[in-house]
Amino acid sequence: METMDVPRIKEVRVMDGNRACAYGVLLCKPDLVAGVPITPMTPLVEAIWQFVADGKLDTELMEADGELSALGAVIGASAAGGRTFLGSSSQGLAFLYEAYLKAAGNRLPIVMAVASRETAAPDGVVSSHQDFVGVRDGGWIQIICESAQEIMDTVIMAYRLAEDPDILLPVNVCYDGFYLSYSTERVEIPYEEDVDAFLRPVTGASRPRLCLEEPLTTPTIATGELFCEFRYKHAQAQSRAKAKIDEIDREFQRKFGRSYGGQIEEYRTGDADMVMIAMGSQTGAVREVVDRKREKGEKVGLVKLRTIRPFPRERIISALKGKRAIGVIDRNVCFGWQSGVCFMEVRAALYDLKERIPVAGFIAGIGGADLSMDMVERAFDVLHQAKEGKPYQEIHWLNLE
Amino acid sequence: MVKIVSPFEGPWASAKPNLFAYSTAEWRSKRPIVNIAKCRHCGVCYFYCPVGSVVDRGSYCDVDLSFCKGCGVCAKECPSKAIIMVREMD
Repeated sequence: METMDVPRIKEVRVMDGNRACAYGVLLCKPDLVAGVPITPMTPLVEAIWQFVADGKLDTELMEADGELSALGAVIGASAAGGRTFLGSSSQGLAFLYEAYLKAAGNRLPIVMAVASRETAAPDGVVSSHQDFVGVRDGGWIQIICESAQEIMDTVIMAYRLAEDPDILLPVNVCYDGFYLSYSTERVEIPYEEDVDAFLRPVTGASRPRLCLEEPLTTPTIATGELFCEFRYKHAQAQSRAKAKIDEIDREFQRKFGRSYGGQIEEYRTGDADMVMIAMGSQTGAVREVVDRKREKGEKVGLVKLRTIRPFPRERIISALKGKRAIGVIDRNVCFGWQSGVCFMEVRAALYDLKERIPVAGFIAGIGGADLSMDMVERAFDVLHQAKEGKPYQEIHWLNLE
Repeated sequence: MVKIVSPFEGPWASAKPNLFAYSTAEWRSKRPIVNIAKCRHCGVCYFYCPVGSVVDRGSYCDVDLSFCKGCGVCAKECPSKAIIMVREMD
């Protein structure tokens, strides 16, 4: 394995999340990019088309008439052995859902960005995680980013993960629309040849593909036991992806000097007795509050959930073991449970522990509303009650209280 | 212990000998039988068969039972009444 003593940086640029994503795509050199612009990912499509117009990227571009045909084209190109990319959001993601299921079932290593946006109705072109959590059981891997730099890096890691012969699953790189897609940040861009080297283990790796020499078909008809077998293999691949995500993150750190923790990031959780869990851009506000509270000597920590599929059950358990109260902040609603999706899933994971830890859920930032630091303080106040064994309200809608 | 049948991770299958991972003729409940003596080799069954299972044997038509779904269109359309459908159990 080649190592670099000091990871090198080609250049530092200031760009928003969409452009950071486009740079990640540029570095991974896809064979086909299909695009339908939709707020808040339109500049991502524009940036990729500009790269091609400027001669920086040699890829087939397809201006699809809708998200469903965009993913349809990507499925075909991926089945033929190509590296593919597309981006979508909200209603666009809903519109391509039929092909979304097929992409995963066919085990095609597609990378798709989701600049997450609230789903209609009500009509509000605003930030939320509702779109991608709504399709979490479609069989894809879903990774959620916190910064523009993380978006670029995650796109690179996503290809390494998706195309791994042990995984062969499509990956969603999700980032908060508006908050990340349009926020401008400092981004370090690696050298093209370093990314080539990082992706080399999977570039051109053998996998079933459509070609004239050895004709194959996909998806084949499968019913009964054979259907079960393919579902079982799919589920096993989701399981294997957990360790693989951590492993790829460690290798990324060795080569590029940045780590995101793999499936989850633990921030000051070691001796913490209260831990807040958050996902995406909202993590920043929680991190600030944790720092403030730590300055006052309060033992609090943060777990950033980076993957929701596969759900990092084992990592969550080891991070939360022995804690006295846990809070989960959700930028989405899980109808039927009247909580957020992460709240429900974290609670399910905690069943593995012998001791019973109180968990409180906080719905915040949906409909493009803010999660302010003041709200995070209020959320920690609830955890304080829970920690002391006092009665507490299980679910809070922070923007309404 | 989980039984694994397909060599593929996903629902892929080799296009040889046919395009499916297992025989799609499995669900047939009736199969066509051609009476060669009655067959006038007109080719009506050949054109009517929706899945292309009728094969031309030069002087008469026959059915590829590894692909035939047993719909019975051939028997219904045969002008010479050379094809009959029999239950798979019989």
